[in-house]
Amino acid sequence: MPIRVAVAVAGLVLATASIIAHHSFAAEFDGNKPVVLTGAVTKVEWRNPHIWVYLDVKDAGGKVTPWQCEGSAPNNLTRQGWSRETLKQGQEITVEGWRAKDGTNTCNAGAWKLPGGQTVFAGPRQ
Amino acid sequence: MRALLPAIIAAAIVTHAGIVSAQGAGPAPVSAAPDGTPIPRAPDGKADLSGIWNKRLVLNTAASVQPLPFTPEGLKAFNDVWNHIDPTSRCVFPGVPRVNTSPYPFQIVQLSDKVVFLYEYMHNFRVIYTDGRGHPTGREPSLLGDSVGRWDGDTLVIDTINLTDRTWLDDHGNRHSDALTVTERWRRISANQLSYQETVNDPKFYLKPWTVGWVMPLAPKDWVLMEYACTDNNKDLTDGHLQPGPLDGSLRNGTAIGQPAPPRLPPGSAPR
Repeated sequence: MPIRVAVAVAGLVLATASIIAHHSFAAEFDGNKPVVLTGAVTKVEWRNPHIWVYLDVKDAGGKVTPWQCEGSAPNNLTRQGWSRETLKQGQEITVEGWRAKDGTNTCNAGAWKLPGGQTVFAGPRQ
Repeated sequence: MRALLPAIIAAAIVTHAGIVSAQGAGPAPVSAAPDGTPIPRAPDGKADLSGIWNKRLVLNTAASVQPLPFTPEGLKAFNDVWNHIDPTSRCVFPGVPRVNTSPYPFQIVQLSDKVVFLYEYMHNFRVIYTDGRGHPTGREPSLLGDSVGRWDGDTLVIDTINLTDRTWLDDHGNRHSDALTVTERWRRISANQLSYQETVNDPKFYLKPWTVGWVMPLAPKDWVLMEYACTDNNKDLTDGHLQPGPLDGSLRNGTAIGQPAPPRLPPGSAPR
């Protein structure tokens, strides 16, 4: 049963991804390659057509790998109350997303989560 | 666990809905029935379309008119779409009619002799004269074409000609040729609802014209148009990651193949 739940939820999340990433998801990212990244934010680019967040991801051995993840459109996020200041430099963030097809350390974010579990950049800011 | 399943799925759907609404393109269907609020009137008595409207991002504009009446050339173009990169991914203007179904709101400014459309997406604008003039002559075809308008009662009717074949109809990769002409019908059915219809007339790609439409909601009162510069930080484009196929991903592996239109009956024969 837990497997079925995971499949059902994954299906919904993937359906979401294809809708939210209107601009480029299908043309750049692989819906069959989910990735979960936790790291420190190094830079946030709040520019059209999509935001990009850069983070340093540290593995168990302490090795740091830089990643870049694409988010939603800044105009939509701004209208929902989010801003570049939502994420501070050095802040830890967990990104649940999908890898780029070209194999670089690039992802398309489905969810951005703070250490306390709060999701940002989704729906109106409370 | 069994009891948890519906809750988990519900939570996923709520998350899904929240993210989708964040697009600001109003993908949730808006009721086609007028909500009863009074239609604003311009000083000349015409229905006033002015306002900021929240477009619907319609991925497959032809979904309600399947199967499409393809010509052989149109069918070939549709099935070949996954060999091409969507023009808007390269920041080519969406063109007419796709400019009306691309993301982000747009503003209508209605004047006595013209109606101005200001689109946030790619900063497109259209000045639609309603003073009785005809289409200009001697112009090169363009992405937005040549548009003129007229009033049919409370409905603004826009005819657009002189388009190129360098744009697509939508994210699904529905295609058109350079023979495309488009008729739009815009009607404010309440203070909060704008009815939209587009007729695609492209005899090279479709055996007969087809018409689709839906209702767009008025944007929240505090919304204004914002900057949208497609090339500002378009890493998908500049980093060379773009790949061919429709943006909605439906034909990425080429397995979704359009079907030929049913054969036309000879003129004068009775439909069976």
